[in-house]
Amino acid sequence: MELELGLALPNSHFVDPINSSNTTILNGNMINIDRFDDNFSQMKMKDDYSMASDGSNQVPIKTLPLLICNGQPNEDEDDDDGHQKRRTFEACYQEIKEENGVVGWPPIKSWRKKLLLNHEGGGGWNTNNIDHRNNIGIRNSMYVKVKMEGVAIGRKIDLRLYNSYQLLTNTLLQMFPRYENCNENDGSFTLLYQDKEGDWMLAGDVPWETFMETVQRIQILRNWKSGSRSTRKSSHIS
Amino acid sequence: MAYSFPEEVLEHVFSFLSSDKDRNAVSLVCKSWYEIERWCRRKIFIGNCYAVNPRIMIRRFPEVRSIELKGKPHFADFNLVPEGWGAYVYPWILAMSKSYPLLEEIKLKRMVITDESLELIAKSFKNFKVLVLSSCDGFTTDGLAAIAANCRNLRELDLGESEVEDLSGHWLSHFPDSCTSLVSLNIACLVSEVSFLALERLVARSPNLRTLRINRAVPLEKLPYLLRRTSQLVEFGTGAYSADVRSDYFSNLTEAFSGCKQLKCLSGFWDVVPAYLPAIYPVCSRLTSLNLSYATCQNPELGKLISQCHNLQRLWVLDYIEDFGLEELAANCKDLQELRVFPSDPFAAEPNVTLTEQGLVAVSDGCPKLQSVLYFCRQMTNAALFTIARNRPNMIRFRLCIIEPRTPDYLTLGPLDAGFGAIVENCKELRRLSLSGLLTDRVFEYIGTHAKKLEMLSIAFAGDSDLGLHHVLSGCESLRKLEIRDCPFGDKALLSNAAKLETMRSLWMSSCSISFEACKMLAQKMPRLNVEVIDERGPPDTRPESCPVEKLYIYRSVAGRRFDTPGYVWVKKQL
Repeated sequence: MELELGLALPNSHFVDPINSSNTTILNGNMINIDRFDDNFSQMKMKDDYSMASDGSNQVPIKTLPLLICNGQPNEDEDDDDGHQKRRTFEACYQEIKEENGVVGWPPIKSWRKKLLLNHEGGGGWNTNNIDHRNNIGIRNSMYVKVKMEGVAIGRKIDLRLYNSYQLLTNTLLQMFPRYENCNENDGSFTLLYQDKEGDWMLAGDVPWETFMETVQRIQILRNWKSGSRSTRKSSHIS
Repeated sequence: MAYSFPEEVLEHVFSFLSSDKDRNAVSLVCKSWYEIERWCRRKIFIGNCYAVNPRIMIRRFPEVRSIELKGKPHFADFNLVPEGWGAYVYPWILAMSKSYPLLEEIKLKRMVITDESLELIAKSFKNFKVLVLSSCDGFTTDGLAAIAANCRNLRELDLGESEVEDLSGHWLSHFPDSCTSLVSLNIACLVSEVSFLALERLVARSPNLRTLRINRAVPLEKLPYLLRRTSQLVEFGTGAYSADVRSDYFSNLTEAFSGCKQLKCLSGFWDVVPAYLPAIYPVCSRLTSLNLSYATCQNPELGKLISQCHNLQRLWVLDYIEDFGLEELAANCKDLQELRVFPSDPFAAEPNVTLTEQGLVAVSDGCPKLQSVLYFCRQMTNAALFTIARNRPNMIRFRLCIIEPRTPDYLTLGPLDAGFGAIVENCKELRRLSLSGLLTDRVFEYIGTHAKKLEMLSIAFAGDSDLGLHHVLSGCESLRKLEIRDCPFGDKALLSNAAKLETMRSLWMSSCSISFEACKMLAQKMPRLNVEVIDERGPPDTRPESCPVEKLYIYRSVAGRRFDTPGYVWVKKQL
């Protein structure tokens, strides 16, 4: 496609038809230059308007500018060591997270991405969140079946939404509304989970992260007041 | 020619003009009006902090009371702009501290503001009232302490989604007991716990408080203490919305919410325990704005909450709402104007929720006032886009993000050109558009032909050749901001539309095919454009000139080149 160097808007001046003396080469393609400096084609682009950089070229480190504007030094965080370190760490973290994906895609603000990655009380740069198993930055959703004893229909929950046994228990209790008053009575329910080996374990004994890695399904057992579960340790999570 | 009106009268007339456009028009009428207008302009909006400089601004407008500045390009939100690029506000604060002693308001977006700047603000402007920092960074809570301690008449402190280095929560205690002027406080982005007692006391002595957005660290059981003291709130952002499930907590919270008769807007909702959602039911019918985009709760609890909000105008939510929830939304919220659906698990290979094009179609069908959409999903069809376009010719902002780049129409397996074409053809008032999915040059032909009111366009992984870019630059008459990533657009289209760039605020291109040679040519021939080559691979002259640059940011400016560029930004040397 033969194009003019558009120095003015298309409808604002009369466009000359292709005139070979007004053409120049750019990237091996002909560009027709209209209304241009006579000596444009003779200009050595490299020398006359070489691009200037204000600092060192190897790494994106801030340096003082060659020319000072208003006498102001660059805004720089170098004066506070901790601050600088934190920013470098942040940048590294971003790279770790996105190395298996495209940078900045999907277009979600960092603020929001952080929240998706880290459900804990914010601020913790928990690199354990990286899930190499799935070759992506963060865990997939983790749906497990939840069955309450005596209730015919089970539920499914996404364990990724929770970061503690507390949060999980609170939500589970709400899910089975008939038993909402459960926690009014001490130790009236027991939370069990089935691990990777197929064994049923008492929830709450292992750290949350370990639990997350091994849980396959969850069961809620009611502790009847008659004491028939006296052989089990009741899981009084309140 | 003598004026029949004295200057004071004209000034008084001008004082009724609040829009910048109107004031700019007035200042062009004649020299006299220009002079009168510039002396009485109180509010300045600068969409690109590098388009002008403090000296020029102060010289023309000596009596400014309120300034709004925007810094980094939009794609900085997605980590495409490397650290240290610029947008430092300090030179502005310094200049204004000398020339605008009566300055009352500073609003910044995507700028770097240090504690030094905050301290200077606190010291220099005796009547300082409003500080809004939207997506800013560079400061710590020490800077906030300075603001709190010194700004006697502070009305608004809004930290937006800024990145604050959170040294401690003590800063809040620096508000003196005599400070009773707060109208709006947004500290949602802070991580550290603030002293709850200090917060409660501050809230209690602020009778004009209408907006309060607290941070995640404030637990749910404490909310009633705040709400009871400030029952005239219009906008409230909770902290972590979780606690042990206790009936006393629940009833306290419900009662506290019920007491807030003016409440129109809710946000926050981190770590939601669904059992506590019904505490909000008393206020649902009054809500016009609901931000549940951090709320990791699912249906049916989520849908049940939303369907009670019959007066809802704005909803931000995670894709846990699913198509089903959106259908409920469409049925119950007939006043809906803005919908944003964010992905809960954007990096997962497989969808974790049933949120498809159907949900968006349902809302476009059921909500006649829907005009602003941001929608993340994993599949789309041309047919769905046709339907949306036909349903909603009043659409103003349409941002669709199909998560996997270059995803085709899943029914036809072809590009989504026609679908987006229908959007721009039918929605004649469209001002903002973000594209995604599989797209050829054809979609840009449609956009150039029809999108005459389009002001901002975002393009990613789209197009086949320079023709695509050429269509946009030559066709979109109202275009102000264009941002492009990973598209095969090259020198020809850019250079042949060079003049267009002076009519726009800015152009961003990254991972495209613009050569360094073309950048130099553009910089040389267009002195009123700043051409910034952003390339972290080292000096461009260590590579062939035909080699494409990593990133390119072009913006018009009357200030000339800037002098605060980091090592990886290349700009034209001053001649």
